[in-house]
Amino acid sequence: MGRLAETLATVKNPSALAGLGLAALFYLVGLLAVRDPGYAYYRETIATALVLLNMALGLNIILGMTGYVSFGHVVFFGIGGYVAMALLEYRGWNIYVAMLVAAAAGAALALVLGTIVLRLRGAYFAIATIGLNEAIRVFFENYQPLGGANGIELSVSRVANLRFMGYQGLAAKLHLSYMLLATVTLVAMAMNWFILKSRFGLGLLAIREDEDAAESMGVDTWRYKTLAYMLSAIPPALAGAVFAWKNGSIYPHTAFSLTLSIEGIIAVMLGGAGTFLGTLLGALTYSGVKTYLLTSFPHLHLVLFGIAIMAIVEFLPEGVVGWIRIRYTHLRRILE
Amino acid sequence: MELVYYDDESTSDRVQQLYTKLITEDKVDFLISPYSSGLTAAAAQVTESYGKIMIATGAASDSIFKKGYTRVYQVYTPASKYMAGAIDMLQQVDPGIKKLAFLFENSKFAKSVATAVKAYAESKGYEIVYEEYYPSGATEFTTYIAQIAQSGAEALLGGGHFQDGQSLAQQLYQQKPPLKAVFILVAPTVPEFADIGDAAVGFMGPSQWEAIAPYSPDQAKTLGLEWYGPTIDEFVNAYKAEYGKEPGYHAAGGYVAGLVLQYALEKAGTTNPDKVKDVLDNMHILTFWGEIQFSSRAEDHGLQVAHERILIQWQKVGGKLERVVVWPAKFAKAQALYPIWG
Amino acid sequence: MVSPELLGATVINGLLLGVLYGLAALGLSLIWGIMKVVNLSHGATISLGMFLTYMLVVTPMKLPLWAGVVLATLLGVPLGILFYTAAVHKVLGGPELSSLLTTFGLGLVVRGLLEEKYGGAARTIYTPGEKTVRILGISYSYVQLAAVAIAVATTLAVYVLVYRTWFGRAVRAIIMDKEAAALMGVDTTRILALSFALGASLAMLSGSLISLIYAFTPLTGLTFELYSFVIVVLGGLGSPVGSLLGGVIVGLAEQVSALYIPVALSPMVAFIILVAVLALRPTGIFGGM
Repeated sequence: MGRLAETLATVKNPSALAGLGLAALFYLVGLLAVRDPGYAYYRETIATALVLLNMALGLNIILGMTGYVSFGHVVFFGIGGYVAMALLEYRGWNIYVAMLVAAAAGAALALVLGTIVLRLRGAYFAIATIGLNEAIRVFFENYQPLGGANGIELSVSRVANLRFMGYQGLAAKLHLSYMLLATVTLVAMAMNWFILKSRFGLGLLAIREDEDAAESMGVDTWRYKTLAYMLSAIPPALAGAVFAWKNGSIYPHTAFSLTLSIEGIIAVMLGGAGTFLGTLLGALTYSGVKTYLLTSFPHLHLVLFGIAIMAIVEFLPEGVVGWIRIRYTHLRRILE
Repeated sequence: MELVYYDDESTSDRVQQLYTKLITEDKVDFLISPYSSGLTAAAAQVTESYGKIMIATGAASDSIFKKGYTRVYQVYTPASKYMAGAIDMLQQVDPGIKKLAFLFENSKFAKSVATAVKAYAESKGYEIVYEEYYPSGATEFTTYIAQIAQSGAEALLGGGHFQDGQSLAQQLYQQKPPLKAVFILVAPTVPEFADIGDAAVGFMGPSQWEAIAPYSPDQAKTLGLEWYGPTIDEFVNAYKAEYGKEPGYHAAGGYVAGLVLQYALEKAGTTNPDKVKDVLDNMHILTFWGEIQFSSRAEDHGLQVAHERILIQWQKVGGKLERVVVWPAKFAKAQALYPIWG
Repeated sequence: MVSPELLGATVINGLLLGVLYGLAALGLSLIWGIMKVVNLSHGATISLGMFLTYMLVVTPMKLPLWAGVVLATLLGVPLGILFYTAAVHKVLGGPELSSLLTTFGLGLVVRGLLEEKYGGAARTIYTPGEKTVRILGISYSYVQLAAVAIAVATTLAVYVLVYRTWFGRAVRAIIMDKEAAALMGVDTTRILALSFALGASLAMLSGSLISLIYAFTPLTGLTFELYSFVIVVLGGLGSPVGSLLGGVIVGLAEQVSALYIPVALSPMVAFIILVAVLALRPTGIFGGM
């Protein structure tokens, strides 16, 4: 019990408080948008960022803390979305249960895939996760019970009776799905924070620094890695479930698009791999810059974006937070 | 009237963001859909929530109109009717043909087209002797073509997108299997198809619209329909004057979305969405785009039910490669080249 | 029911296709093997080879096909050095992730420029006409057969380059121990830049040859990039002959499997091979260099 209280007490750290503040802001915008449509665009802009943030928070566990480059991490986003949509549209389940099942499905898939790929290291692991994601995408393109290439589209009737804060039907879904996205993000943040503060998290960091050394120091690396991979699957699986419901549709080529995992990796890198605050800042900055480039340079955004990625990695390899931590060691206790 | 628009980057996570911006920040009254059915489905979730009317152009899916939306209207012919003309044409041109091969892309669009035309062909007594769906982005079709040649198929329906359809046509030309007619989705409708040179000759494809389409105010009279908007020549000339090139069907489809709104607003005499919806539910007009009528049934509300697809074929006209309309017969400007390789 | 003739034809077709896959993977394999960089701009470079060839032989220039292929390949060298300087040099020796991301960024730049100029519609350079050879009922154009021959010859030439020349010795010295090589007087930066240029130039060559056979868009190179991962893992890093054999295996697996399972599932075969090989024998079937 003492340990638990100790761990909980770490929430007083400024970085954790910053995370809580952000989560409160996300909820606030959602509530404001319920009252005043003038906030709806902010809500949607944040929603876009939250999808990426969940991908980044998942990746931060396996990539940031453990050092495994899960390039095909979007596979968990896709599986979460598909499991949820199948339950919602075909079985008429409610979103809460669908989300729980999606999270469980994501973790279970990570357990299965992990036994195959977690024995690989470095670039081989990265390439193997790409291969698995592609194979699973092709499977969904062909698996007719879940729509095959046609995907799954949500019927309006499935949410006709949904009520949320004075709204009904599709409008209720739009508001509620955002609130769920904010909640999922809060859960992912908490996961990240408490893993980082736990003995388990220390074990992961040891694996990242030197896996063989960690093993010889008595860390059960296989169990640690597998558990980290399973946990890292949960935020994208949950976000995938809520996002598919919010969008009202899911298709194999968008659900399993590598772009999202790569963007998640860049977000983690940008902020500082393995840090809590860094992942938050990285994902939100990235999403903001992307929105700006898209609306300001619709034609050359890919080019600018590619240049930005190269510049970040070459000139700021530790990420923003990592850089500050190295430069200003006295800030280390605050910036986690 | 003012037009507000954004680039959606063709990703669904941006679509809802931008449609919300259009409705709540830019305060638009009516919306035009993004390109493709998947994005339109995501946008519809937002527009319906706000009770706004959206004209869908560039979305050929049937399925999204069967999900219970009440304010989304489709101007494209739905996928289910894309290839029906090919079967009708075959029946008339060569009643002896009975065996068909299918080689479509495994994508939402091509798969919907294939499923519908398969049912239609079978109802007309055709047998599908070869049926495969190739993965998106496929480049190599040679051995599938060899299998089709062995299957005894007399005509091939296939394709899905630009690059695959063009490679498929190239390789069909090189292998020359014993087929009498080949219909390919999408690729033959763009000018770049002429890149493959003489290999293009004889390939047919369904097109939403061509500048050579035959709709006119006179025809409206014969059909007992109201004519609305510019004639084809007026539209083409205005477009050329503005952009310096021929309009393709994407451009025409975009224009007609605005035209439909204009019609509905004029008739309703107000921007009240309920009144405008009444007009849209009940209109049936002929325009330069062709006939337009939306389903007002609950089970497929907004689905396009009147717009006819035309079949084009690449032919050599005076030594130059050109697309000509060969079907429906009442609109055809030229005799179809049949069988395809003489 | 698959007739023996169809099976034979499919095997030959898979073989010829596989040789092209092998060439497409060769550049990726060399760069990965020599500098431990998984070049995620590989697919974009293949597409660049296609469109450069298009520029050279269709519009704006109208050179003969062979000149287009040669020039596109040669242009790969300065472009490769430029790419190396922009995306690779600074992150060399760092964590894998850094070079994965910088080369991915570089790929986006190339792809973005191609999409801006050419949009999404497909281009085609050459159509065979009547000049074809029939093998087991399948027609192959002269250009197609020439492309396959060039691919095989290039692979052998690269093999000789790596195993029989000063350049190859320098490269292998760097692979074994970069610092020792530098001490022995090897200009490592120059050799690494040239190796990357060689890889880029091979990617351009494969793109150029593929563009003579298939229609292409700015995204077509990515399909070949995904297959290239499979091939490199199969053939072993940096091994030219392994690349060729890996390509042939993937080509055959893709083509022959499509006779027995739905065509739509055929890409799964390659990715399952990839994961299986990685899981069972992470150094590749044919070992390293």
